[in-house]
Amino acid sequence: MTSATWWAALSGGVDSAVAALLAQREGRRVAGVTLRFLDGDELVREAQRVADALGIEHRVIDMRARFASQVIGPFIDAYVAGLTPNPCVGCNETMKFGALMDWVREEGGAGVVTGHYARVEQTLRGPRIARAHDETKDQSYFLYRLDPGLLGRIELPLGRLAKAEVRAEASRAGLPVAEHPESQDVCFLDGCSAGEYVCAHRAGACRPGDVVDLSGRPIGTHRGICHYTVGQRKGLPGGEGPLYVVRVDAEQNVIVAGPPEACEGTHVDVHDAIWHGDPAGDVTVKVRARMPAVRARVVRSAGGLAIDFESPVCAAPGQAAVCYAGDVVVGGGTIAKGSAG
Amino acid sequence: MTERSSRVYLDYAATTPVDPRVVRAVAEALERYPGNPSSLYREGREARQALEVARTDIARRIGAAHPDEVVFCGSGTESDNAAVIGIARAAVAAGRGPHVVISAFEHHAVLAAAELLQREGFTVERVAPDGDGMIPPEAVAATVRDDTALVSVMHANNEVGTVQDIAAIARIAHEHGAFVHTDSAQSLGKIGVDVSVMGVDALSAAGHKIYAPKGTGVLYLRSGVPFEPLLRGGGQEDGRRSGTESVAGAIAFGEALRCMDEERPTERERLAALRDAIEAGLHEAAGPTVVHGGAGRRVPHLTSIGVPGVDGQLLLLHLDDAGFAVSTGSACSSGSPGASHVLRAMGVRGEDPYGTLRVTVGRWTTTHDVERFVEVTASVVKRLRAR
Repeated sequence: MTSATWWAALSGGVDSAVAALLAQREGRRVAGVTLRFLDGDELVREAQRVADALGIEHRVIDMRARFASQVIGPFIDAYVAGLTPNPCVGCNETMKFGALMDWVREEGGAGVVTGHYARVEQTLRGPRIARAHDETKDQSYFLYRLDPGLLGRIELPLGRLAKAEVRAEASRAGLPVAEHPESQDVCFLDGCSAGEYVCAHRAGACRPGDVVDLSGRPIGTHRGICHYTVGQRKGLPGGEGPLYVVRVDAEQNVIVAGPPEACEGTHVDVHDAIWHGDPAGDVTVKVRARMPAVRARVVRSAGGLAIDFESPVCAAPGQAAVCYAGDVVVGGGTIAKGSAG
Repeated sequence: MTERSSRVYLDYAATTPVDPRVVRAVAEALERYPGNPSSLYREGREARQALEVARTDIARRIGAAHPDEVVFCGSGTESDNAAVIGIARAAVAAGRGPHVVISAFEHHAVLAAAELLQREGFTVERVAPDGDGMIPPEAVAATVRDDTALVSVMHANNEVGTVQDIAAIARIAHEHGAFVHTDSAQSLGKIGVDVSVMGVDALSAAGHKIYAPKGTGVLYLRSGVPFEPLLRGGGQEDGRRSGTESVAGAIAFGEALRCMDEERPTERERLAALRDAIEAGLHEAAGPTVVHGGAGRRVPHLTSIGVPGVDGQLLLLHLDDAGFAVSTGSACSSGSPGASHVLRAMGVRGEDPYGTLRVTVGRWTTTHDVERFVEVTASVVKRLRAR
């Protein structure tokens, strides 16, 4: 008797390799699949080596065109519009758990196994994405848009492990990836900063302009707005005290700079929001991937959320605001312009 | 405060918004110094002390030998009137002849004061600028007489921005025993202004051109220069300008000048680059255009651009509609009511119609403002020319 196959998304890295291994150990029938997002086949070859070591079938799906149009294109557009996008959020929604899940369904597979550090928790209202036990590695922020209806077909075996345990597993199992360095950054930037990438890939996107103070007065020049994000200190002229980016004004091609407190506010408006049907109200909210969640009150409106924080946060328009009840993701959306300062 | 308005203000030579630092200084002064500086009790002494601190600072910044040479007054116009009328009358009373030399393209505050003197019996001679907007010192030398009472030539012209060689003019005037006044409304703070270097006997300045409030002016009067005050009354300012002094106004002027001085090294370059971008951009996109006085030495923030084939008033109104505040000066053929005395004096004669834009950049002008201005102006000019 053969059960349906769980398709492990193999990136070529250690996390997805160990996720596949752990799913196998649970007695699932596992095969490997690699989504090819970029040119260059090194990662595909590494994924193939992982599959060989695990003794599983390996398929490659060419996603390059869709990735370019649905992830990289909007990423560049957002920077040109003065936003600080989070491409991983959209990629998880449309690529890793969108296009891949569609493919798995057509293959008649059981579901998808990935190496994300997050958990699927069964709540009274159904399965929800929840924080990983290893909070330093937690990736639930990037997964907030996943449809709870899909979660029954998603296995996230690393959610209960620490990174060190994952490395140890890989090394014990003799997987060929155990010595790989961390990959934390946006995968397609390839060592560039986001600003450098945007400049190199969109002609005319990178025009120098003025840095202005809170009164709108020019106090220096910037290299192009795509090099700046709200709360950033680097690349600003010296002033009487340290200056931070308060706002990125694409229309005027200016960076508004001010003291650190000017970057912060207690109210954030969110658009393109989703809510998983849980009661709104007192939750904690993260406005950046790597910052602690802050207690807040959330009011839902048509397509959006109005969030009032207990203490000021520095929110960059374009980033995700993700709402948690305890460890469980209950909703979120994209931070709107005008939320900073 | 963080929202930039959709209006783009490019008329800083007309007046400047008040700098937030000056606003704070004024608010503090209004609260802290309620007294009359002439009163002898504590409130008065405190107000006096604050007034004198501002006076000393301004005196030092303009190169005056003594703080008492700085007289606070109510505007640039008052300062010009007081200097021209007050020195000429007093010099005549002291034995000079009723003869005054001014440039032909002075601000109206000087022109009209000279006309008053003319009605009183003075002979007023007006030295014409050359085509580059410069007053040739030789022309002053040819006009000044041994009994001339006063020579008044502006430091920077308010319509074309040319900076005159006041030191050379003052030397010539002094050789003939005449007193020298200069109107520095458009130059103070923007370029170095030092009365000891220029060698002038009197200098006028207005606060609202340097991000201080309207209604603040300064008159520099060298010690020993004959002067008959215009305003009479309580004898304030050593009898040179009666009327209770505005302590907050004096503090505003001082703070504004401090900001100008401290930021001038970088701001001067920045403004000149913006001005150059306007001149080059319009020439390329809406050319051929002419920069009046472009060959002369100029203040960094001002340009006067001739646009052949377009009516200046119409251009201004279209730009206003598009969100830009700029000035115009018409150089149409002689006699037209709107013709600018400055451009006429410089001999600017364009084909009719011939529009002139005076564009001035300042503390809040961004590169983007200038780029948009060039783009929009070029499209408006093309539309108007196609009519």
